[in-house]
Amino acid sequence: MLEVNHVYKSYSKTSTGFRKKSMPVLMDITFPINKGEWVALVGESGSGKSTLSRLMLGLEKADSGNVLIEGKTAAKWIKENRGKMSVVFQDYTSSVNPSFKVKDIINESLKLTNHSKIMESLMEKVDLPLSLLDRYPHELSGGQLQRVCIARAISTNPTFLVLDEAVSSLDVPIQAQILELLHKLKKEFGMTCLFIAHDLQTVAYLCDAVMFLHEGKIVERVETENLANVQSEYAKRLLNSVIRFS
Amino acid sequence: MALLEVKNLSIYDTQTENSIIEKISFTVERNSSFGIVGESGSGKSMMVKGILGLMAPWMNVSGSVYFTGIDISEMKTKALRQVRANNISLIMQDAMSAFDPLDTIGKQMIETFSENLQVSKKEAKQLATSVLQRVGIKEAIHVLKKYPHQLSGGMLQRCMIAIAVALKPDMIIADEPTTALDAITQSDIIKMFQKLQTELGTTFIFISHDLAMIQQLTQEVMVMKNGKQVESGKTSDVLRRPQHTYTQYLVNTRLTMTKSFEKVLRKDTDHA
Amino acid sequence: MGVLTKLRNDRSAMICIIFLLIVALAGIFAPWIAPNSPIDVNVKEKLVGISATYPLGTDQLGRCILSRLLYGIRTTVFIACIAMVVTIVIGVIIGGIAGIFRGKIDEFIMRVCDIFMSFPSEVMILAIVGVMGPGITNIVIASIIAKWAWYTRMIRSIVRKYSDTNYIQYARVSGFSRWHIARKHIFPSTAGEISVLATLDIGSVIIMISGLSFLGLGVQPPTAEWGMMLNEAKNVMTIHPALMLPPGIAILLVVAAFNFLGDSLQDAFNAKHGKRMR
Repeated sequence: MLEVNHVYKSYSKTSTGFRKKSMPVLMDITFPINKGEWVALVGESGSGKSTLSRLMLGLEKADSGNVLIEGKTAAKWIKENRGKMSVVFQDYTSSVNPSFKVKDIINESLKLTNHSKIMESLMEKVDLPLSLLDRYPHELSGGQLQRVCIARAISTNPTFLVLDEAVSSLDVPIQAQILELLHKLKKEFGMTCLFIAHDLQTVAYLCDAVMFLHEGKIVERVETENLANVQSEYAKRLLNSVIRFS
Repeated sequence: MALLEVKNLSIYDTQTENSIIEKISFTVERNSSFGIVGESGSGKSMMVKGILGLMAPWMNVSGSVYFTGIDISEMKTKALRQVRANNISLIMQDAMSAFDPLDTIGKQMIETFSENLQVSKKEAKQLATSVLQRVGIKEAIHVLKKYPHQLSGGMLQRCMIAIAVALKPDMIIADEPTTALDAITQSDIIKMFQKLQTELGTTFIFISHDLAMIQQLTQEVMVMKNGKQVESGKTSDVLRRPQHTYTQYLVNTRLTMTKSFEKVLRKDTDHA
Repeated sequence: MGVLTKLRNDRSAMICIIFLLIVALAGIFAPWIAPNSPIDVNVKEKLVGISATYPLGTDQLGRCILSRLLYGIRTTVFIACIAMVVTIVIGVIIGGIAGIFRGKIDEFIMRVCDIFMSFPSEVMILAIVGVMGPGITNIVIASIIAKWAWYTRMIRSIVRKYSDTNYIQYARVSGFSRWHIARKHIFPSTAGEISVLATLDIGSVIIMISGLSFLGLGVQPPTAEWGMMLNEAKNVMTIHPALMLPPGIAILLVVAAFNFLGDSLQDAFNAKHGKRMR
């Protein structure tokens, strides 16, 4: 359903003198994501994860190569399929307009597709009490606000969902709850998802396959079941770095 | 005699009329490592500030804090600052904001050392290089010349730990030292802490919401919820056989989160 | 805590608001509350002191100073406000376009702004007034031409700052139209900062208009205007220096009130953001 073909991206940065230096961020990225598949993109900060996600969300253009969704470029596909692409960011506080109430935040997205879905049932889906609808974002805890963002993201029945470090800045118990929630939604809605993370444990919980992004290149792609048999140096290092709890 | 003894510490916010923490008591023995676990908003970081006397004036702190047997909660601000400078180091979550963005790391380290340890600039520089190497930075001289924004979060966190180590305090308090970092860096930093514990014999207090880190690094632990102490004891006991429902909840959620990962790995070992 | 409650608790902001409201009302109702006509010359009673008929005395032509001050609000303060509003509207439209659409349009608008900003604004205003001739309309136009580039640039950077936030990005990803995003998110979010900008700067516009009138380039006699009153008082400075005080103090108070209010507004908006960002 989604294809990334030989994508290159670099940012120009002025260094000493006047000559602009270009910093390559992504180099020859190619991968497909099949319909209904949940694929994880794992890498350190600075590996190009967020740039790749911005390209897939149609927020930026690649220098060369392209991102095709159902055969169309990402930006075009989004224009033609309103609300079918959705995203949840890591930083939930800046993900919602601070002067909107929770119900306005969700309502804005609901109106987009004229869905018959009701706000109440959405709140129920993400396990939030209805009393929160009249609150402002700053009156909510981090976990609650991230749930609001998830509710908003699924309100349009998206076919493609990007979770950009959606659980990384939450406390572990809250992370576990959100992961459970996402697991439930995965079964219920059957959307395709790109799950960006740096922690392999959360990835294993949700995703069918894992891609390792290191220094702008995809070094390996494995099915989650075979995670223990990774071949590349970087993936092995990442696997060994997991702080086990028993 | 215990290095740090906190008795019935309570903090009350007179502005919002909220109780931040209530009647917390614990002791930290010399050369041991103590963990404080709780979710964000449980009052962990506030408690540390309360112990160190770094509270805003409208916060009402009651109870007593004995450090090396001396009640520091009764101390004057100036004397307390002396204790903080010489005996206790604090490592914070956000390393970036702990450094002055306008100066190089080296300059800031040298300044700190020559001020607090009464050494010459040259000795300070040598010390800086050696402690940076100690926390696993190979190109120490190179790093000293960098400005904070030129270094990664993990690097800065190491620099901060290096400063704490160099000052040779009796106690190092690390408040969520790995939360803002990537998985690989997190595990590197934890390994480094383990090494430092055996080498230095300094007392550590680790504050975290991550049970795995607490399990790796501490011998004693206290679990906090909404400003109250719900359980404490030996780390292995508390995490293996949690008594309080809240601790059980923390352990269980942690296990659910990792169960798929563990399953995948276990399957592999079965094959082998 | 909203911006309004914050302002209500800020004493200096309240004093400024009340003072400026009184000034505005006095300007609007000047024909009814002014004791005398502001332009009637009465040479017999020139330079008289404070009296019941002339609460602040008269000037060298025997005109009532209080009446001239009150009518002067209409020229000095109101014209400054009009100039400001037009400048802001231009800035919001052009800066908004540059900030939202980016790319080549942005590049083009910014280069035009660069050109406009490379002239010292005082010289440019003098040149414009010199070409078009003195008069109220012309100084308003001159002030707009001198300032729009700076405002466009400021508003563009404010808009850009907000359009990089995650909630705008989310809206773009979900396929909301640019117009919807601008209207529902960017405009309301930036309104606060823009109003601070305008309030802080309106003082300088007042000073500029008064200054031009003082030089005889702005408002033409006999219309009452504070800067011009200062100019007229200057002629009799040696024999009657007190004549400079009423218009001078009036300018000082109004400009100071706008500046203090701008500061308080800024604090109020910052406090709001601090609270919500946490």
